Amino acid sequence: MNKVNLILHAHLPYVRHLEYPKFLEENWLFESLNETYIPLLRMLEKLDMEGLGYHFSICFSPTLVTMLTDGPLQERFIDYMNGRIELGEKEVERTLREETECHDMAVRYLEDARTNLEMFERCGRNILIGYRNLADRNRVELLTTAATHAYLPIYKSHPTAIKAQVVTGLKTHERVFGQAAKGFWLPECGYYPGLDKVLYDNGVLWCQLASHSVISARDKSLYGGYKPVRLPSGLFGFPRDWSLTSLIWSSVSGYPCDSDNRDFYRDIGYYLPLEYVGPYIHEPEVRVFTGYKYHAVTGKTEDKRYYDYRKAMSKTALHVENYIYSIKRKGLALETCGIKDPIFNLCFDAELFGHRWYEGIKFLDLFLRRGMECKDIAFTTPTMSILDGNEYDNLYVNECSWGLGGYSDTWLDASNSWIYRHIGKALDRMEELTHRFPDQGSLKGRFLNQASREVLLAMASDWPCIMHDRTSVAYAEKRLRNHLGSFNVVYSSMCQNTVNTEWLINAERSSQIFPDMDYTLFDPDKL
Amino acid sequence: MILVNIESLSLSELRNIAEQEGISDSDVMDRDELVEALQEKYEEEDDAPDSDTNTRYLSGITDFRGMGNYVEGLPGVVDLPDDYADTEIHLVLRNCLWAYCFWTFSQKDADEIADTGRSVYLSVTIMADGKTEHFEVPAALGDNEWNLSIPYGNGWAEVSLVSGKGDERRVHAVSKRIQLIDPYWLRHEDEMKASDLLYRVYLSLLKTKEGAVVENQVVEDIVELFRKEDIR
Repeated sequence: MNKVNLILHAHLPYVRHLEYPKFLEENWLFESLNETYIPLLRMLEKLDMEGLGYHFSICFSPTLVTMLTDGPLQERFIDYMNGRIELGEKEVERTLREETECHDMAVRYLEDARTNLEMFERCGRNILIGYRNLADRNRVELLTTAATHAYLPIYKSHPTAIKAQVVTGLKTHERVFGQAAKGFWLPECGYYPGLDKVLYDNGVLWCQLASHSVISARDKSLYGGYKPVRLPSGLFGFPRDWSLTSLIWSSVSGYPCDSDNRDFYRDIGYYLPLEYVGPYIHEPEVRVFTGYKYHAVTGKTEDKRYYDYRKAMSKTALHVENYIYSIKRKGLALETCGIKDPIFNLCFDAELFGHRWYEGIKFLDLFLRRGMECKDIAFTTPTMSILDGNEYDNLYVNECSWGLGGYSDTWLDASNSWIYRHIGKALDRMEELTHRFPDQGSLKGRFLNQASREVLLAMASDWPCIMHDRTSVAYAEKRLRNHLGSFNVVYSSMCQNTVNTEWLINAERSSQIFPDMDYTLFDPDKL
Repeated sequence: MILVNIESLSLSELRNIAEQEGISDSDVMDRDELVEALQEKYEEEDDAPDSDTNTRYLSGITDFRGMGNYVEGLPGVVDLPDDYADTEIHLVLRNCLWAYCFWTFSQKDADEIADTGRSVYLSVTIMADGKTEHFEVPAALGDNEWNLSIPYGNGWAEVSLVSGKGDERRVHAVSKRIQLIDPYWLRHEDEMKASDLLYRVYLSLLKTKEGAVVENQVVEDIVELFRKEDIR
């Protein structure tokens, strides 16, 4: 039997700028909701209603669950969807007159937008309730990650910061979902020896690991990554299967690159006249994605073909068959090597499915359906794997990640290394504050808790990652400076034993995250 | 930067972007000229990452679209200090063979070093497999970061911030130790041949359908060792 742990990771950095009528980077959330989180939930619920007993794991990061449960952001998502629906109605009409090849897709986008909005309202605007219901029905295992998705290996010399990231992440999950998470997604698969103990001591049962963690470990593995890895603390690690994930993930030859798939980049927001798309792009006249995309990947050419939905869906079905064949074939090959009942850990960013890879949700749907029809494939979750099995490797895993080269180069290169001297100093000062002001309640306690939030938000792996990828660098840098600057406000005020009340009220209002923050997590004496 | 993708944009898209980027005469340029102008504008590097549907945050390509100043005026944005008042040094593992080191001198220490004509050194200590090595890396007083080569092995590395004149040395700060990467298979190459089956299992987790192995120095070194064994 080939056991498949399909593990998705849904994460976005905390972006909430109510001080602006519209904020471009908030679209990260809205696009992901409309194109991934809601369609995925619709698909999983449908499978469940059909009585299909799948098992599936998904991590919702603490920053993402905070945004998904934030009233004003939910309200803004409604506005975003109404705009998308309004544009869709225009598109349906326009494509009757011109670009008629796009009409069917315009209708589809419009219908999907309406259905997604209905579902959003039906969930009481909190789609996490839908996922929690699936978890209650034992279809989905929900896991969490570090509070602000900090890349943890870089901060290992600050154990209080690691603890604060882990504990705050777990607390947020429990507050939102009502149950403790057994699984913990290591941000960027970043692991270092000792991190397992922090997780284990806080009640975590398992985490995922980078694919090369086994071959590069300090011990000899017997199962090569096809069984769970028991780390020194007792925490279990599940190594990502790169050979199977790369069939999807590869930016060169993965299924999403198929020339018949829908192209992500060509969007009417960039090529239709401004007077037409103006109300649906960013003011003043800044062209952005609208979500209405009618072309196929085709290739690296200007002459993109129009997207043919039926053709793409047929191709997706073929991709699923190919994927299942690859799993079975691999299982047989491993059996000849003496490994029976291998566990394949397929770990992906959730936003790949539906948002960046339009056909991705359909792929998952067919994959789960077809996989469950196969006698030699069983969908499991890591927790089930631990409870079911008694075969595992005892391994001392060296530091590793899924980033460039398998270590920290993505988050520590010439573009972003400068940030660590500032964040490190803030962490030192946070520890200092816990010593100088222990057991503070009321106003000073709130002030110190806000300082903790700011330093945690500065630690997010998203900012150095954006600097490395050179996508939204100015925004990332300003966010980082913003959080560190805010931390410094608290530090300087507390050094004078004062509280800037007006600043505190504004800061608490603008970043409504981690309401149960406890600044004493940064106290080195309480490790 | 998402520049590779620029080649697949249409003429009207390229014109829109060029206009936003302030490229003059963009309305009369043909497609090739626009691509060239934009590539020049963004100083595309040969090794820039390919456009990739896996890249995050594509919807907020503010810098690419000339929106870099959009977030100006966010409340709370302040300049960070160039340096802090303390003399300290930190060492972070960057990958299996390199560590990143950064440091600060307090103004008092910096003035004293300058006034007394002392030089600055990084004193690196590496303890691997029971052997300890020390070496000194000269640095300028104005420097504040360095990348240090480290070996594989069972052990650690640390670095001290030192000033000196002649043979005399003064230690100003010492970093915390970082643990070295110590892969089993790089110290058990004799077992490789006997573990042929297991070796193939290991690699089956890491290989793409094109036969490429996941990009990682340790894996590369292990594969190289195994090949050597094969030749024997």
